[in-house]
Amino acid sequence: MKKTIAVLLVVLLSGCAQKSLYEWGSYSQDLLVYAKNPQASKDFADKLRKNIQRAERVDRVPPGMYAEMGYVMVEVGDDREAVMWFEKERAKWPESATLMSGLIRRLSAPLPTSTPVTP
Amino acid sequence: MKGKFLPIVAGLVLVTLAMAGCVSGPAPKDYTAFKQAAVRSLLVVPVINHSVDTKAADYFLTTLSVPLAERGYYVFPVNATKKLLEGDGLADPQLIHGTSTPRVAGLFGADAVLYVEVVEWRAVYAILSSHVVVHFVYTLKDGKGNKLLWQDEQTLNVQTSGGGSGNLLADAIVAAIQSAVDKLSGDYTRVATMANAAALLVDKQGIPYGPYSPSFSQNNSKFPSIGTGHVSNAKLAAVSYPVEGLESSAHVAEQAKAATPAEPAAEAKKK
Repeated sequence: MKKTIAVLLVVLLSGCAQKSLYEWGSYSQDLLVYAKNPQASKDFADKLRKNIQRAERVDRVPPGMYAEMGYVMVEVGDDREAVMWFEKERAKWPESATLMSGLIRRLSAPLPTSTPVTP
Repeated sequence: MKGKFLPIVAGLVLVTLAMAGCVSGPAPKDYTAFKQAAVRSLLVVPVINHSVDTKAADYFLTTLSVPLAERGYYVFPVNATKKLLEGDGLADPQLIHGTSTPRVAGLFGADAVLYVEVVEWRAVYAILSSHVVVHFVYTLKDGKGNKLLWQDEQTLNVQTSGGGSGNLLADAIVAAIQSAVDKLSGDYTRVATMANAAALLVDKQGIPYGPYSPSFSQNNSKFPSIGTGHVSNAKLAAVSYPVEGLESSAHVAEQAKAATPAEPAAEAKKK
């Protein structure tokens, strides 16, 4: 307990008690719920959408949030919307470019099977 | 001639280092390698869980994004990361941690990869109070060179919820029942958050501010490149960075389990 208090004091004293950089909403809890119930993609998508709206209102969308939304769209089968979110992530975060471009390319490429390509 | 002066010089250097800030607590870490790696992005991979508590790993993974991003780094989305690794044949955290870092980092274009292992996560129920003993190790490796940039090992003893009704017997029963109930999720999150803060946010021990942080310029004073090469306080060897001569995290975990008195939770061990 003493150590915990000491750590928290150090955290506060070291100037970390500042305004947060991003608007997270219920992101962490939503990730956890989704991790425990992976079939609930639609629920996770709905919650993410709300978190994104909330963060965009104050222009403080955290890294990875658009990309997470895009990935859930892939899981529910909406490739077109997925690409839209991946492009948003790439535009905002240059560090995501390698991954986002790779995913966008994969979604846009013609499939090797007889399944029709998403226009 | 050298023989006479060298011990004096060494003594002076040691005194200077002592005054420079490692007055109490562990030796400060050296951030030379970390800064040279010019880390802008962090990939957080699935957590290895050595403990009997099967939920522990999930809680760590989902609580790591926030402090790391707030620290000023680009953090890859943890859910998408996990799924993409699975798609690439890397579903087992043990396998991920054992794979070369440049291979994993290269899949995402990440500058560095953060590996977390839960060595121990054990709830202790007592009449007057309950607490959780947690032991974990965080390892950060360079995405290009496979180098160890930073590592932190922590053992915490965290008081958990249950202010109590004042009736000792009733509280004891409630505490016993609570152990089976998901109501403890608030506790899990709190413990994971505390663990993250202890590992990541302490000057000269944690991770420096990232490029997006308004405090980035404070790195020179708070996370200096002291040149000692001391980047880890760990006494065990992590899966992602095995060190000869140190006990492995798996071994330490097994010893902790063997030392714990038999509880009903011991049945959960049989995975």
